[in-house]
This record gives sequence, C-alpha cells and structure tokens, in this order.
Amino acid sequence: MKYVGKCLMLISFVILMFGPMAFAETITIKGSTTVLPIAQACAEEFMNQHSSVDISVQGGGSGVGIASVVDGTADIGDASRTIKDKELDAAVASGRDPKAHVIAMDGIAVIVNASNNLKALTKKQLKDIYTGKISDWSQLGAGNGKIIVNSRDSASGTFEAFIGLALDGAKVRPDALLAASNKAVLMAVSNTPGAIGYVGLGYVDSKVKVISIDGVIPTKETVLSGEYSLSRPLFMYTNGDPKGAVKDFIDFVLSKDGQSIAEDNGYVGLK
Amino acid sequence: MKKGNTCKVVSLFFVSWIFSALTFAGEIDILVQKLVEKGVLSHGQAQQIITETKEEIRKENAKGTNESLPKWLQNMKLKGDLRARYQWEDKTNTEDRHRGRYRFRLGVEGKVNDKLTVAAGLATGADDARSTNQEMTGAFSSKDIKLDYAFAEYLAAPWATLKMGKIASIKDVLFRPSDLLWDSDINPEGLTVQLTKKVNDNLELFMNDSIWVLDESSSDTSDPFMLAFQPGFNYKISENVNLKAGIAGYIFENVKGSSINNGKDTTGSYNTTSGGNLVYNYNSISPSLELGINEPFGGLVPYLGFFGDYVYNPDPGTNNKGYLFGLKFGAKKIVNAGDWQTQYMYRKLEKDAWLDIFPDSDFYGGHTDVKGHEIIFEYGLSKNTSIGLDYYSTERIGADSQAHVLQLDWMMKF
Repeated sequence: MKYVGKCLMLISFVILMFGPMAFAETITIKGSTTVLPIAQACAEEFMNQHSSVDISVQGGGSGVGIASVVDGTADIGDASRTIKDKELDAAVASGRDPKAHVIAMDGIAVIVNASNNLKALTKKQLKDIYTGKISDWSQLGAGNGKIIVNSRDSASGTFEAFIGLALDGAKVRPDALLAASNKAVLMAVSNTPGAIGYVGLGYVDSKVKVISIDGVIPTKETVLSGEYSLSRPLFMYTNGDPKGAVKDFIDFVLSKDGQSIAEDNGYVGLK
Repeated sequence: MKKGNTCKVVSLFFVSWIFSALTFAGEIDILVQKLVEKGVLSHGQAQQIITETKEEIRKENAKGTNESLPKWLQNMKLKGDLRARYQWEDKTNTEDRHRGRYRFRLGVEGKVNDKLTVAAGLATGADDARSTNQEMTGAFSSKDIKLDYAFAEYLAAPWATLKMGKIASIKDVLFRPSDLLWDSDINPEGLTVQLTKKVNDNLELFMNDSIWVLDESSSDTSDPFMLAFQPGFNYKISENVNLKAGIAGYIFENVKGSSINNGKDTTGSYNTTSGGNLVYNYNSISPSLELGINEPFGGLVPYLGFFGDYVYNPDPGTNNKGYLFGLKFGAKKIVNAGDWQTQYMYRKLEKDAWLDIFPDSDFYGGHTDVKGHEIIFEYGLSKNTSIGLDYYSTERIGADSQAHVLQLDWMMKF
C-alpha cells in the first residue's frame, strides 16, 4: 500500500511539474524590427497575466513576418508596411487568408536645437538636408553655420521608416552622425546648436524644437489621421481571424494597457 | 450601458456593415472622416478601420483575380528572359571576332499538389550544356529552341527537398559562389536531395547530395555518372555580416578512359587525354565560401562580398589544383532602376584539376589549364531590365596564348 501512496505522490508531482507545459498554449511572433519592441513588451506583460501562454517573439523584418504567417511558421507576423501585391497573390494562391491588424502608428518628429529659429521645412528641403544637397542653415534662411545632421543607425526601424517616408528610399549623406537610440539623437540635438535630427514622436521633450513638415506639426492627432506625412501604421498579420490565445493577445495589444506599452516605446497609440 | 456608448456601438456595427458593401476606398475615407468629425470614432479607430478595410479590399480583389482564372492556370507560373549581346574576342594567332548573340528562355512551373511541382524550360542555343546563346548568323534563318530543363521538385519535409530530371539549375543544387567549376547555364540530369537544418536564428546547416548521369551507352554497362556531396552552413555573424561556406566532394564513375571532355572544341581538350580518352580520374574536393557585409563603410555601398572556390584532384599528382577569389560590391541583386554591382575575380584552373566540360564557357572557351581576370559591371535601367559589361583577360598556363573577351549585354526579365 505504501508503494501506492508513493506512486500517487510521484504522479501528482509529474502532473504538477509538466501539466502546465502540456496544456500551455504557444504563440510564435516573427517579423518587423520596428514592431519588435511593442511585441516583446506586450508579450512579457501578457505572459505575466496568462501563465498558461508561452510567447516566442523574433525579428527578421516585415517580409519575414508576412512570409511566416503565410507559410504557417508563425501565428502572428509583425510588419511596418502593408502586404505587397506579390505576397498577397502568393498567399491567396496557396489558400491563405492574411488579415491585417493595425496595432499602433509610427510618427517621426524632425527636431532642431531649441536655439534655432527654424520653424518649418518642406519634405523636399528635409530630403535635401539628409541627402547632402543642403548643408548650411543660410540656405534655409535660418542663420548661418553648417547643419550638423543626426540620424539613427541603419539597424534601427526608425531609420528604415525615415528613409522610406522622408527620403523616398534615398541614402543618408555619409557625413551624418549616426546614433544607436532615439535618446542619443535627442541628446545630440539638444546639446548642439546647429544640429538637426529625427526621433519617434513619443520621445520629443522640451529641450528640442519640433519642426513642421509641409505645414503640419506632428501630434498624436495629425499622425493618427495620416495628415502628417512622416507617419505610417504598424501591423500584426494573422491567417484569417485570430482565435484562442492569438486573439486574446491581439486584443491585449489593442487594449489600453497594450497601447500604453506602444507609447512607452515611442510609438503613437490608437486609443 | 450608457446611452452614448450604446450609440457608438450601434454606429460601429452600422459602419462595419456599410464597409462590407463598399468597394471604393475613397467612399470609406469620406464616411469615416464624417464619423470622426461627429465624435463617433476616434482618430485611432478611424485609422484602424480605413487601413484594415483597404487591406481587406485588396485581399478580396486578389482572390477575385485568382478565382477568375481557370483552375489549371491558377497553379501555373510563366517566366522568361531575353538577353541581347555584343561580344568582341581577341585571341592569340586568330583574327578578332565581333559577334552578335542573343539568349531567349521561357519557363513554366506547374503545381501538381502542395508538395509536388513540375517545371520545364525552353531556350535558344545548340546542344552545348554550358550555353544557351544563339549566334546571329545564317542570313536571318530560323533558329532552334531546345529543352533547357524539365524536372520534378518534391517537398518531402520542411527540411528535405528532392529534385529529379534535368534540373534547373546548378546554382540551385550546389552552393557555388563562382563559376570556376560550374558554368551557371548547366542544368544537371539525375537526382538531387537537399537537406536543411535551422539550428537557431543565426545558423543554418545544409547538405546537398546528388547523383547525376553523364552519359549512357547501349553497348556496355559502364555508363559514366557522378556523385556530389556538399555539407555546409550559413551563419549570420551579426546583423549585417553573413558567412556561407560549404565543402563539396565529387566522385566520378567510369569517366577515366572515357571521351567525356572538351574535345569537341576545335582547340581540343585541355584535360590530359590519350587517343581522345581521359587519362585521369576527377574525383575531387572543393571548398567554397562567401562573406557578405550589408551596408559597409557607414552605408556607403549597400553590399560588399568576398568569395572564393578551390578545387583539388589527387589523381594526377601535378597540375591538379584550381582556385578563384573575388569581391563584389554595390547592390546585392540588380532589381530596380539605378541598382549597380561590380565584381572582380581572379582564377587559376590547372590542366587536370577538373573536368573541362563544366567551367565557365566564356573563360578561355571553358577550358582548364587557364588563368586570368574577370571584371563585371551591371546597372539596372528599370525594373527587371539591366545592362551589363563583362571583360575577361585570360591566358593558358601551359602555352603562350592569351584571350581577351568583352561582352556587352542588355537583359530583360518577365
């Protein structure tokens, strides 16, 4: 009889140890490095609230995210762009049903030193500054002196967004100072009188001056409405309507808590 | 529920229903804007609805396009390319040649089921395995079209692919950063099994195994064939740096003593032969590697790559080695207008390092016992259209003979 008791204890121990693993739901998320910080932070918080769900978050780029949802190797594909026609045709041809969920907006604010009297730029002037055609503030009627151009490094999603939205894919001038974070750009611009830079809208503070682009100042409203040109929606793609834990997770990302996480990471929340 | 909230829920339900009937994105924008102005929707909700609805419409359109095609056409893909070439050749003791050439290829791929695909391609050219070029000759005579490839591809598992038939192409069944050993036009005949194993996000292992038939004789059973094994890896060293390497082993059966050599060329085979038959075996080992760097020098160029191939054939004892090293920079691939890429390569391929029916046919006529330089420049004119310039400065190792070739290409893909 004592063996029966020991066996029961052993079985109970095994169930306690491995039961949650056996019944745990897993969600695999892959894709855009721009969306990655939101996905990671939301996954962490979601797992804190739902101990039975295990979420794996990986980067790889928007193309990888969309391809992974289409080929079934990910439940959620993060993307900082819409699905391309070619990707959509391939998905539909193979019987898949990629569904886009807008989860936040990416708005990029152009900033100069607080002492600069510049207030506005056109998108063309901005492109000319960053591609090297304009190098002195006198060419913009904003005093004299060399423009100290600050940019994010090429590994950043903000850099990728800026290249696409502001420079139409052109290359940043080789003498631009490259920074590894939004905060580093903010600090460089706030400490250098002739500097210009760009950061996620959520990082802007009073130490720098925000410049309007084509007459539009970046605010939450102008970014959400799409009126401000340096903005874009961020996506999570699923195959068809999400179900189960995947649906719960996307609902969480779109909830007030999830949107706060997006804003904490420098993006514009939808709420 | 508060009266205001009830109103919003009803409005949102109504809006969703309306959207399902709307087909024009402009109508959605106007309606949503009105609802934002009335305070029914927030800017964020409006952005969600507009973007997601537009995406749904795109998807429905894609489905409609797809479904409007006949079922058999839905499972087929057609592709092709045309290359027009001017070629100048200057070879020791021969007159300069000025050649007009073109290459046309048309391929079709049919999906048999989710795991099985059949592909076939037609191309200009004669029966040379290493070239699909057609000479502008014969006073406007009609030209031949040949079967370039025809093979089945079976996805046995996510990590295993089988290919059988006349397989397109050598580039897809072996990792070969250059054409030192294999001209890129070669489509081998036989069976290939390709295995991949993703170890983690940064490391992938691969193994290419093939048995390829070289000839068949009805009069005896010693038909020449070859086996190729190539284990390798693809390692992402950092966000912008990638290393791919493999080591191929080749085993040839019934090739020694056979007449499988470049003897058809008027200048004769450069492999050692006796009575027109090969004296040595060509079982060899060949490591290859490519180191790629994205956006080096602070993004000055999009891509910089260093690559190399080496081959060693132990049978002859002398004149049995070959190597190539090169670098390329510019765009990784020429896709759009303004993309450009430059390559430089130096190679030396000794007389019996490798079978002289396989190397790049433009490098001293595709022989062994050669060395020299190659420079390539390619520029994208528009999407899927490019021009290219390829210059070879080559010479024999065992004889005093040089050949210079300049090729000017205009390439179009569809």
